[in-house]
Amino acid sequence: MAAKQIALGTVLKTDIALAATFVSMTLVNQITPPPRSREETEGRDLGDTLTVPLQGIEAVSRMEFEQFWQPGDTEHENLDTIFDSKAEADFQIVTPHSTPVTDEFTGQVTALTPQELTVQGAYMRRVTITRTSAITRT
Amino acid sequence: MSLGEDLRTWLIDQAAVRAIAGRRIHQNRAPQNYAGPYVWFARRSIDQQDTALDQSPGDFTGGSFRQLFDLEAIADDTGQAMDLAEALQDLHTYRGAFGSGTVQGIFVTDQADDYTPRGLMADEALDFGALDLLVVGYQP
Repeated sequence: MAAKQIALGTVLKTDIALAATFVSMTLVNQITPPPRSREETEGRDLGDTLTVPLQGIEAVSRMEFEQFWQPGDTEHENLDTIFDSKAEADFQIVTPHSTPVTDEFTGQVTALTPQELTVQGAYMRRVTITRTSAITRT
Repeated sequence: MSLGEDLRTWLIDQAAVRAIAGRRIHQNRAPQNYAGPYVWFARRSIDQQDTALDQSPGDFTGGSFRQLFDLEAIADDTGQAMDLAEALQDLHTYRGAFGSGTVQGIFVTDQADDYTPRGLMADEALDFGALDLLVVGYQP
């Protein structure tokens, strides 16, 4: 039976070396998974009574996540490293459902955005991953 | 089992809570005679998160998707009451087995400043720590 599921327990994993060895990203508190959308191309002809666009290729797709930032943490530093090198890495989002679902894709770190620093606030940053492959769901 | 029974069973199973309160976990009614630190809880509100396909009685066999409880850590010693409250706070973000059922998430936060405790029934001067306990996705 279909059941509602909260996000607590979701795991974001990275494979920086593209070696099929995924490691859990630490201190993540929010994830916006990468969307899937297609470019739409005008395809109307004179006999049409309803506009139905032609389906194109997948549009640019970005995942964002927010984490408490710890300088020196291996997983956090890895994100800085592949941002600098513009290298690709593999990413997985593993859901906490009773039968977990894994979405896997390749991407590049295209933004590391420190969040506002306040006296009582924690050091946090947003990380943007631009997808460079299709999403494989298993 | 009901949610209340499973919540009580689960709290007793927590070693840090049991070390202070033993099996003195009370739902709705508080003991007249103080016999040591205890936990009191009562359900305060529910959040159904309905879907268009829900029917009555609801499809969600565990009842409401989110259920909020008032949770009080009570003792005749301020330090003990605070220690018990901290043991309860440490249960924040628990998920998994829950009595005879399962739960997707437990979230423990502070009560509002103007909260009036309801678990103080004994004549003795007792101290308390007041918390909110949110149970999400309970399945019996």
